[in-house]
Amino acid sequence: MAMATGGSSDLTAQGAQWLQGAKEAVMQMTKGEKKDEDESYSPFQSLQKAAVLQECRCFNDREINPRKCISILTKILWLLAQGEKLTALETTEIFFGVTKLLMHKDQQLRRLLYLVLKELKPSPEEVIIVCATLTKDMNSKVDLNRANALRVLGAIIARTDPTMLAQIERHLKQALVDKNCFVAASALVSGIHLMHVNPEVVRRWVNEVQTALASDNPSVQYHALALLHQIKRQDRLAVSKVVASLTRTPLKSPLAHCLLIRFAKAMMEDGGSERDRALFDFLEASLRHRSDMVIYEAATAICSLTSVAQRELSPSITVLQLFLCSPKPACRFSAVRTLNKIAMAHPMAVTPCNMDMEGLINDSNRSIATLAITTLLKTGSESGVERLMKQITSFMSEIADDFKIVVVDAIRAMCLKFPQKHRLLMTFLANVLREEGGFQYKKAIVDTLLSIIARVPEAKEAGLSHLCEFIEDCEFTLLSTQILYLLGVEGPSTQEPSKYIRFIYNRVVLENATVRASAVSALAKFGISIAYLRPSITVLLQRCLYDNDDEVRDRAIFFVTLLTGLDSGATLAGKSAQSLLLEPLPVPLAALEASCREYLAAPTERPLSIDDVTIDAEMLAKMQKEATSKAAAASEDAGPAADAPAPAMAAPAEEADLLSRMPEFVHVGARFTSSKRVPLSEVGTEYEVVCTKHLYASHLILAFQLNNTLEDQLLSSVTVALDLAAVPGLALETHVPCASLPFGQPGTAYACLRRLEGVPVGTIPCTLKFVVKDVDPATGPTDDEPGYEDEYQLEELEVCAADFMKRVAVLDFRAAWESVGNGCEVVETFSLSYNSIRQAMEAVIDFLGMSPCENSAAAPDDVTKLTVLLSGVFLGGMQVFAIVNLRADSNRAVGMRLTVRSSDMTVSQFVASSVA
Amino acid sequence: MEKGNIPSIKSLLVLDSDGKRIISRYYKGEFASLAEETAFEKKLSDKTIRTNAKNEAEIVMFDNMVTVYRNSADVWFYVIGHHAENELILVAALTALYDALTSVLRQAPDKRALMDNFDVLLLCIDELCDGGVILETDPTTIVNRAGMKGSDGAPTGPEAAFTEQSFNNMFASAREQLARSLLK
Repeated sequence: MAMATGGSSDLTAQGAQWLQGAKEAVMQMTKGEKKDEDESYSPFQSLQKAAVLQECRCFNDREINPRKCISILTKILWLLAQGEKLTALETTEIFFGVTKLLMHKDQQLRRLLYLVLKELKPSPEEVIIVCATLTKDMNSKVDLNRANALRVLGAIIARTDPTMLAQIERHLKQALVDKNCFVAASALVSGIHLMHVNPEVVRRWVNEVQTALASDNPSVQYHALALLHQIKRQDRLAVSKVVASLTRTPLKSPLAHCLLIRFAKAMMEDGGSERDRALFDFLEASLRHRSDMVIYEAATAICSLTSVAQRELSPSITVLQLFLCSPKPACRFSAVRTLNKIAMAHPMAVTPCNMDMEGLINDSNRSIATLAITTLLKTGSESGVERLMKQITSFMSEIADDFKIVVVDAIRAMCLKFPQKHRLLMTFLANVLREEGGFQYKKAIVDTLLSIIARVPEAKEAGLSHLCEFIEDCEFTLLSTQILYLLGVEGPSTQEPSKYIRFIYNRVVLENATVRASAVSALAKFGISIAYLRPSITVLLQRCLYDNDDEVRDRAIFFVTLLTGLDSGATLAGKSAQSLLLEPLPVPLAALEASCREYLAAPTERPLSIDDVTIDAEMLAKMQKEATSKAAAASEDAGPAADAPAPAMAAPAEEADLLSRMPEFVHVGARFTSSKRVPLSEVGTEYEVVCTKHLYASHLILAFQLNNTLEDQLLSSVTVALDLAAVPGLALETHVPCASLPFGQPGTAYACLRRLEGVPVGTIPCTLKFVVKDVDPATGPTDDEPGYEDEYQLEELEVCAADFMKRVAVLDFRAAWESVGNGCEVVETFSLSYNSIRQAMEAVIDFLGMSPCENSAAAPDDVTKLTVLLSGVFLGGMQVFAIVNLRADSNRAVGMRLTVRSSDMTVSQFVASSVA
Repeated sequence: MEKGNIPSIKSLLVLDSDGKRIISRYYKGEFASLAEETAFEKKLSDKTIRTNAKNEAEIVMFDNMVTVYRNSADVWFYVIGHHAENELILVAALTALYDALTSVLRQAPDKRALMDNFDVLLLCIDELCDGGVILETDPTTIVNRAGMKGSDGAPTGPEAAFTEQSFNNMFASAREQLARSLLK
């Protein structure tokens, strides 16, 4: 006890406190007997908000007991943590009590008060008081007080009123370079939060942040790097300077090192085709860091680089392989997760790890095991499939449905890679299909079977019979109908179509109405496609005429009429039964539905026809988005074998066909061809614009894809103004502006030009015109502000000969070439300055806009002579052929002879001149 | 993941073995209501409760987020990040929290100790992570800052440690002794 006697006044206070404490301890001990029996003991049991608020009154007492106050504050925090809400009045009450307590000297109490202030979410008026109270703390000699006050103010201001920042800016700026690491780090973290709400002010601190970056303290260095990057994010050059200088000096903090790796990687991705050697070396050197997290960060960064070569991967794969054997689950997970991703693009690079990954199939962490399996499925060789499937079969019974789905997806990819193994894999899928499982799992299996059937023709019959067996005992209506539909489409073209009839008719007898209806449709498709089955199918359908469900009955009547009328050659609304049933609709269903609704709302004398269906821009944009996401998913799915541009090219063609269905453009007729996407501004500038030219019989529609990259702006009525003075053959008809273009949500604007005469070529200066409103990224747009008009200079749009040419390849080029004859032949020679024949060839094909035939464009990189055969269809439908002879003359020059043939001399001349 | 993002924590949870919340922090506010949060916590707990995460941080992909977690007695600590986040950084944060609590409570954390020292738990989390940004991963530093004993990881000196720490301990044990003798 002698220890306690510090000073005489202290002694009395301590003594009083101590006695109080002793009393409480006694009380606790007595309670303790009980609480050991009660399992769900909690010091906060049956805690009432009202009671706690009542207790808060003691904050205003003259003599403050810090222990008691801490206990009350803890109770408040507990209530808040459990999701209790305080009213504004209650908050204010506690808030004023808390500001009083800040006068007290007790440090532990003070620390808790800082936390309470952050949690209370004070109102804007109260924030002013907090600022005033904490200003004293910000100038305190105690580092801890300074640091905490900075954090509290930073957090509160970022959340309530960003304009308050001006008041404490001076303190924050000073604190950034404080000698104490906690103070500096706190100021930096506050800066990171404030950057989101008030970037202008934070940007002014750039010099102080730069100084902080040189700090010896790892934590300060890390936060300084994070904040500096946020400040300079827009300025690529400045970022690259910072990154380049830091890669040369070792960073103290592993977190900062990870961050630097992310920045370096982002820069390498932005840098275009030229890869920065120094940055790559930095990533590679980071693989030898002592900290695991840095090694992993570097390995993933290298592995996820676009266009990384297999040779460059091997050091990363080696470190990941070591991770695979780590005792830490997180390390194993991280390694196998990354390997799983690279296995898509570089299966060969991952094969050295296969032995280690087979060991992971039995890992106690099922996530790791599943990832290992799917990776093995991607990288496995054809000969190893049997062994692997054996291991999986035992594994499948022990994992949850969501893991099973992942495995099934991987099997799909594998089956598409090794089509010869389809028998084994399909049997496996059929087996797991029979086992217990939820809807999502079954659906994944059925989808897999469907995609295998679609992609591997030999697997069709076996797949269909597996599916037939499955619907015999399928509890999911959706899957049954999906399979019945497929049977209807694929069944008639198999060797023995009649065997499916029994399976389908069984459904008519045994199932619910929805399945019955789709079974009826499937039966009818057999009847329409196969003449010798028609009478028996008509008999089967006639039995459904008395079904007690309306839909089934309706369908049956419709199909019986169709089938009986088919032999006598009757048609329905001018269309034959075959085309009605077997061809897809010319317009999307959603558009048809919208048109039907409109028609019902305002019916006219004339019946609604499918030709009247129009599509609005909004729907087109939605479909575009779906198509691109689908294409992205597909290219990811298909892996390295599928060439990426193919789906990307296909999607625009489809949506371009729908363009002429827009109400503004119904008059333009059918689309002739579409150009490639041409960027009109650089990627990463304020507004990104990409143009696609769609050519019609006498119109040219320009579709501008717009992207607004400025977080604090909302654009509206966006159009691209065109100066057509230089191209006399074109006249502007209509603009379809993009109504609203918020940050990060791409939009589309259109311009429709009419072709007056001839084939107009030339350059069109473009300007982006719009009304801009300032937006606060934190709070969203404000409606009351009118905004102001502004414009933005774009690059010139070129209309060239290739835009009027449709790429159409012919099968037998020589025969076509001879049949056109040399009556309208034009021969020209050029000298082009390209590094290689290949580059020259690609450029010429681009200029002409024609399609290479007979695989003549597949040239190795180092040829010195090449002949390319090109064909295309010129506007108006005239076939044009060209032979391009290329010869490497010297180091940077390629000689070219171009021979063009068509049935019209002017066209031949026009095409030949387009290269010049 | 966006290019060049700061490593960050989406949410940090401490649940008991029934999946009930002791404390949870959602830094990105991804759930609109309390009910959604509790539903998420229950689901996460059900998914992880039967795994062994006593000695090492375990890991799971949950709702397309990387979740690392650790179990001590009847409590479960979770650190959740974006699905492309570096999981080893999350593990570092989780370990820091666990070690800091172990050191300040002088025992492996259990539900009762955490509830009795709820303020300590809150302060440790607050010193670990500020609005999703990892503030500090050194457990000693976290303990010192939460206890207002020092602003860095340096031991607060034998003298200081004596007057502050052991003094309180002596008081506590003396109090308990007295209480016991009174009860007898």
